Amino acid sequence: MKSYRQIFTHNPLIGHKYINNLKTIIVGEIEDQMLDYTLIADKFGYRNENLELDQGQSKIHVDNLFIGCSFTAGDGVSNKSRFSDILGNSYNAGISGTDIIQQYLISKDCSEFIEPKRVIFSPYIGCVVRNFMKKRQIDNLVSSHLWHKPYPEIKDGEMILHNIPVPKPHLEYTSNTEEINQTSFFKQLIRKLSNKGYSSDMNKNIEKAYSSPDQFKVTQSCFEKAKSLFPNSTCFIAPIPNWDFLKHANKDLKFLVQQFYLSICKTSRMKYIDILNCMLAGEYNQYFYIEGHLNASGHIKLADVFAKEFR
Amino acid sequence: MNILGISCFYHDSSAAIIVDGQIIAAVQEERFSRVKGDRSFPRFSIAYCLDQASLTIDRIDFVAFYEQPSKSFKRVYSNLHLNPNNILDVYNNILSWGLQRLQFDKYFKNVYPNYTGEFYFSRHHISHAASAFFPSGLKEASILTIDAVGEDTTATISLGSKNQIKLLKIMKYPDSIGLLYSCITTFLGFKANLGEYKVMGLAPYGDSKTYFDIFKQELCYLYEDGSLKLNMKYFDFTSTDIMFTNNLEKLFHIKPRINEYEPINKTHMDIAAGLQAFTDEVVFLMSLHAQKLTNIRNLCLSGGVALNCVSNGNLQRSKKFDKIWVQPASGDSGNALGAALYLYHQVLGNPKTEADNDITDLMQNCRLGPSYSDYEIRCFLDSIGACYEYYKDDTELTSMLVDELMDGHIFGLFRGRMEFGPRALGNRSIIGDPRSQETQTRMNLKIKFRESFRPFAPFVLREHVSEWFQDSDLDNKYMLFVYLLNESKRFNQPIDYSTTVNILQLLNQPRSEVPAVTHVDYSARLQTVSHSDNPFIYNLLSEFNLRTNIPFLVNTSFNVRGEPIVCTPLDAYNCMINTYMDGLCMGNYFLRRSDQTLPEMPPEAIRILRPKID
Repeated sequence: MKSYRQIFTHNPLIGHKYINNLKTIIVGEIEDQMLDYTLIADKFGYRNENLELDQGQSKIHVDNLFIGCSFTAGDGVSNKSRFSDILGNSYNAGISGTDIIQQYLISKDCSEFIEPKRVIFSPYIGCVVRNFMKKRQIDNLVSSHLWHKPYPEIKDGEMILHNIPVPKPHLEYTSNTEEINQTSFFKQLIRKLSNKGYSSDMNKNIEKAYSSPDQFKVTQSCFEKAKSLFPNSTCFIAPIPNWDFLKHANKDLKFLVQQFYLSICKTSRMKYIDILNCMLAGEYNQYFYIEGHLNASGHIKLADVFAKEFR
Repeated sequence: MNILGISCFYHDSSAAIIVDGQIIAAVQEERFSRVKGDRSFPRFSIAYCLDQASLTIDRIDFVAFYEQPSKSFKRVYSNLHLNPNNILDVYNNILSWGLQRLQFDKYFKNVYPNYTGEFYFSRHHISHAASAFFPSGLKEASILTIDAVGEDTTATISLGSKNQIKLLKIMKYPDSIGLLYSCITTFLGFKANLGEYKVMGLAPYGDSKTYFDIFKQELCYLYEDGSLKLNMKYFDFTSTDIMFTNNLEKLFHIKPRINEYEPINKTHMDIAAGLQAFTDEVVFLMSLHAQKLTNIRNLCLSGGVALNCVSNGNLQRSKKFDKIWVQPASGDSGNALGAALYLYHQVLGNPKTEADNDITDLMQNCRLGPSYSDYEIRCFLDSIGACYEYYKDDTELTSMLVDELMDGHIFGLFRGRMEFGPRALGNRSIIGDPRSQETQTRMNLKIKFRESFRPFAPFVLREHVSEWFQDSDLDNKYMLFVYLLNESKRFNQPIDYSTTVNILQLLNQPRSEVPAVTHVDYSARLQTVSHSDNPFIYNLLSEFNLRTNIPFLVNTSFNVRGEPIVCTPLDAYNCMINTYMDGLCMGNYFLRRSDQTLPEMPPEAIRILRPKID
């Protein structure tokens, strides 16, 4: 995201959040047909218009609370163009760059001030990959450096979270910022020639993550804990694929991901929304092909999917 | 009515926005992109302008472009000389012209498909004239615009009255005082469009008499009205790297300086001095001619040459004019604003606002760029693990800063809205104690990493200006005029420059109680500060004056050589870390460089690794 203003700030619980009451234009990518759009954040540090409490109420009442990463938050589109806003009566608690653990912590934060009928966890499929990282690169106000984040440890079958409160990040001068998917030209060539059925390092990482018992344990634990924070709400898991996954992941990988979440939903008594197949059924012009996030059409499509599900 | 003005694809891209004639925002793209003199389409500048005006692109009624590209194209390609060295440049240029400049409206609509308004294409020098006259607050004025070249014109004289500008005279390419100045700039080893003010700063070290006649009689012919005819056997304007022929070397009997690292000698100083004196004369004659044509004693100046503060100061001292107003963003960046204002007032027939007792002009002290709240600054500082102190009270902060200054510390100031134009006026400034000779040396060599001969400019309390400077305008708040120190404030007579070649010897000789801001010829480029101009700087100066009896502070732009002035908190922080600045005041936060996590490499080494920019 490119802006002349700072977009994120440090948060000791989650790691980072949007700056409170931010309103700024994000410069789009012409090559991707992404227009400039306005990013608005509320006083809680999420991308919403400021909602006021009804008289006598201690929490904001909404139909839907969406929790996720940049796909939920709506990177690439304005607030009003997102599926949550199209659906209406929703609170969007997506934060770009977060993983499943951070999304559980977002739930914890939101439970203090939101009372939803439904809670929908809508992470990007690749969020699971980030779970065990201790630091993550955040692009922010032209700089791009590593920010600390909470990370898990599985001990005696239970998940323990470390790095909370999350330490403040530091600009690091002596080492280059790590590129998560950095791959040499030679490696890319080998991969293409070996015809593995996926073309990016990310899909390889996804396969590794979704095959990992520790990742399953962590993800399941996070969703269960998050669900417990909203005892009066119906909870859903609706993982969102990006365009690269839709195009390049083979059938086995797609099946693996679906089964991962279906298993969690079964044990946690949550409902699964099959966004993957819905997006597969549609045309690919639902994404920014270079940047990777959903475009306005993609958000309309998702809003339609959720609307049918909640009818 | 909402008008977006744009200047781009040549140098100094910028955008400006006016709403019902009021200037809301104006900014140069280089401040966001961090590319000095950025010429690209100003995406971020436009985004900022829309943000500041709380508008979206579909609510803009007009987009005003600063020139007519077809006229520029005709001039550029009629002077094109293809050779193996420039084929790639020419190819890239043709692409740029074809896809962007000549089809600007289509290009704009491709980037902003939601835009439904109209396009207006101004003229280059009309945009300059409008940027000078309409914000001046003057009811009527002679308008003089002088630059290197815009379309096919190099200078114009106009009459400004009420909401109309009437073009009276033009000077055509290649006869151009701006191009002459740029050419000699490249001969002296500096870069065109970036190094002219370095030549202006070098001039006082030389003797203008040595080469003045060569400029006036050989390099060009000067007419009585200030127009001139260049002797083209000495010039080659097909490139901005080298703008002269071998004949120039034969004329001056000296090889051109290859780059900025070659030592400067007396001949270089004398050439600079001769050039400056000649430019002073040209500007003076042109201004007088403008007055003669219009019969008006107010003068508005714009165009790149209008940034020559020495010429402006001479003009003011001549007392030929009642009021001289210079557009602070006189370069092409100001044309975005000029185009928008011209469309609003002249083309669409809207009345012009004039100055009253409280407001001297409409530029809002040039504070037209983005600002960052204390909350945003703290968010930034927390996101990089900086160590800082917060001062809730401005008085306490001011007092602490004066303590720092009196300890000889130099620090950056980052407060309020960023200035529009090349001058830093206190919101994006590096400041220091002017009483110390060491301040100039340290600032040049250890902070700005620039040539040691470069002088610094002071802020001065408005009420003390006359006490220190001769014939000075009390409202010189944009640092566009050079004045001479009063004789009573000088320490001794200047040494004979014509016999001295050691620039450091000239530099280190104390010349007044404020050596850091007094140039070798006792001149200084002032910025006068009143309480209404900038309360914080005024209070800082007042406190410093109370303790030291000196109503000055050194004020230089907050950047290092080769980089644009800082815009965001990150830029300011990086500039502090990558130089030997002692600290940084951002909003009401103060940071000491020694408290931060510093890079392993010292600043000099970091600069060696960076690509050379100028």
